[in-house]
Amino acid sequence: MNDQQRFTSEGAPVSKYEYDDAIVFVMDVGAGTDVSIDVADGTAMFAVEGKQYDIDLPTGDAQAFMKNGIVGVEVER
Amino acid sequence: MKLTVKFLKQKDAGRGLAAIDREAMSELDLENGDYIVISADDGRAVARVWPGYPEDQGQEIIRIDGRLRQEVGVGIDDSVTVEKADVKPAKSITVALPQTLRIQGDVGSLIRDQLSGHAVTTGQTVPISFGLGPLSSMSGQSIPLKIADTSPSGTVVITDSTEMHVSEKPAEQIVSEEPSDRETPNVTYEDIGGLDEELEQVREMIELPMRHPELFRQLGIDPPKGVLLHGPPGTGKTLMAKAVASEIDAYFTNISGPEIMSKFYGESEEQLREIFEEASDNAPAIVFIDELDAIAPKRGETTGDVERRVVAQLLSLMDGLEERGQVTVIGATNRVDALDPALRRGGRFDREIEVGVPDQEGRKEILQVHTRGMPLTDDVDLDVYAENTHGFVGADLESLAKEGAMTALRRIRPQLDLESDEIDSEVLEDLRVTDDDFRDALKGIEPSALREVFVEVPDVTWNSVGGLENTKDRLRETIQWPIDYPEVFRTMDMASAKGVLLYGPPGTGKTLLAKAIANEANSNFISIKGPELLNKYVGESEKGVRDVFSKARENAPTVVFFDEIDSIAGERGQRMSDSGVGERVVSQLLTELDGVEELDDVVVIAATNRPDLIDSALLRPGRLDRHVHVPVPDEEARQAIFEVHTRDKPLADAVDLERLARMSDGYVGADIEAVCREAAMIATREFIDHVDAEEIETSVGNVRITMDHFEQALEETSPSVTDEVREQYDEIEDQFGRASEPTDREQISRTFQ
Repeated sequence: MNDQQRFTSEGAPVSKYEYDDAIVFVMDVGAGTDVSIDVADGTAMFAVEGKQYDIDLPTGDAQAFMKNGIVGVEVER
Repeated sequence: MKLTVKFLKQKDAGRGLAAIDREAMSELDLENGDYIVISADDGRAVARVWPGYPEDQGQEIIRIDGRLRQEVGVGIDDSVTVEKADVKPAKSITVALPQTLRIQGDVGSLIRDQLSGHAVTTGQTVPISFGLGPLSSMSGQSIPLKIADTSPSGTVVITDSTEMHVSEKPAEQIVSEEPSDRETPNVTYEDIGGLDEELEQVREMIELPMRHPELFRQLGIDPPKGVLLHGPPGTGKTLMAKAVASEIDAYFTNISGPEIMSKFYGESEEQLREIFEEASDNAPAIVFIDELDAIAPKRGETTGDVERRVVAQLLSLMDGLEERGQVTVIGATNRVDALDPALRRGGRFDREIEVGVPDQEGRKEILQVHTRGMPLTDDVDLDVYAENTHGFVGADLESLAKEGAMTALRRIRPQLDLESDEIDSEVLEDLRVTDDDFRDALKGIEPSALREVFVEVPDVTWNSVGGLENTKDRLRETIQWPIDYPEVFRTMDMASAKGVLLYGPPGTGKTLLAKAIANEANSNFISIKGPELLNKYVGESEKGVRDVFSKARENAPTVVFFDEIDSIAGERGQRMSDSGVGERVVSQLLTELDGVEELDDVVVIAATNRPDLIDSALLRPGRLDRHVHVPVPDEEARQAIFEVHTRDKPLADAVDLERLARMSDGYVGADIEAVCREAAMIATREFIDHVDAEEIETSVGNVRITMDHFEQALEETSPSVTDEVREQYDEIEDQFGRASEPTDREQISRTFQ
């Protein structure tokens, strides 16, 4: 396994919640874990300890959040 | 703000998360990932905010797992106060390990990895599991870790930069363990996967009356007294009872059948009374009777006097003159029909809940529960295992997870020094359970409900079947398509075929085909050899048929294969010599195949070489509705069969399979196999007779089977199908085969217009 392995949204440990007004993609990496999130061109990129998870987002305003090891994107619909 | 507690989904449990619904979240001014303090009268806990489940929206719900619920001291549907917490990251922290734990090396980082993100306070006991999940200790419990000191003080959160110290003093000496005054099992609702509906029913019956008896008084009814859980072994009946007991924090007492039996007159009943008395003294209480059928069998059918009295005692205890108070009885059995009928009425067991074999979604949840504490590599996809484990119950899935971990353990065994008292912590940290471990484990585990009838699925693929292309296609569309493309069948409003009859002369590959199906269909396979169902007792033979089908239903999708079906499904009204057993078996088969009870996802394959002897009712549509003739192979098919059987044999270049196929008219698959074996044998005979014993090993690589050998073999083996036999089968095929095997579709459709 190389360090820069890519995962499709299917294999990623990301939970998806669909609300009436928004869709939230969220994952828990544990507080204090090195993590970054990037939203560009309808794709959210989670980078967790050398692994990257790409998730295709539905259209809409996307807002990323990250706090205490809980990272995610909220997409308004 | 007050929120109502509900339980968390299995996959989110064990990480200190609290799922709060969105409206409550905005009202409390919280964001995902914030720390919150959850408090109630009995305690408080810190958790991180997780997005609430969509179905909870606007209902002021907080979902936390069993550990947090225990810390806060609340149960499901209680209300708690939630506030935003002000927690500082911990600079350093001192933990104390239990005295019995023997690990050498730096466990600090290991503990930090486990606790990272958890908020702790001094004096708190945090259960952690060292890597191996179910293996960390055999009882399935994790190691209790005591937080001895924190800096800064107060509630702190452990991060990756927190310094970890391990206290010199073992945990037991810091604060004496709280005396556990009652035995309440430590199982939470999150430890149960795939039984949401059943759990909801049990809670409704037990939790509600215990927590709010006034509701029932208001309605003017008596609260329910008992629940009977029934279902196949290993589906989680006992676990469910334990979880309910621990979640509502009631007094829990357990009766196991054999324990209360005593050799002294009256003592068994006495013990039962004592248990109920003890329970009502400690009310609210749950009395759990596992394997209820052992102590409450049908009174009319038991021989022993003691059993009858015990049943009577139990009946009167459950619904006697004396008020039972707040004592609820949960019974569990896997033989619900063996219970005394008097127990199964309102006032005793008010509700019977069937705990069934889990479906795919349920299996995934169960796997999530059992792999929660297990360090898995990324390539382990639980969905795949949930899909491939038809018929597995919770206990089987648990042993799958356990076996997977054991395989991982076997891998690192050589590195372990069993002599030393302690295990190197680095080894522990590197331990991972991989996908290969799981796959290995899966091979060794068979669904427990099928153990009795389970057959090792043979290693035969479509590839090993030579010729028979038409037959293979037909079988594939009958058996594999409904399983592989259910949506197509739904759209076309088409029910999958119930059964297939394979018929043809002996040796043409009917059983081989069935084996290939078993292997390729990705479903459970039950093989029945006709005569083994027959039993000397009246009624037992039919019962055998019933058992087979009820097992098949429980473990669907299943393929049931009857070899030599003519032996048990002969024409009725012909022979009266066996006092009608044969006829009753046929009738039973008929009703099973097309009866009132639906036969979903169960396909029956029957093989015979005497289709003319089979009862005609069995052959009509809706039963064995597809008749597939497995013919004597033609030249092309014979060549394919030769290819299959000579695939791994060393052939001389001059061997011409085409010519062999031409020469072997009338040979069936089994004959061709014999020819190939014979040819190889002749070659071997020549080789061993002509070569010195010492040289055999070196020159064995040069042996080839030549055309001469094959010709000799052909002479020695005679075809098993003579012209007579073939004519006979052609006749049979004409008789009923054509009708169901339309060669000319147009003609058929005109008939049905």
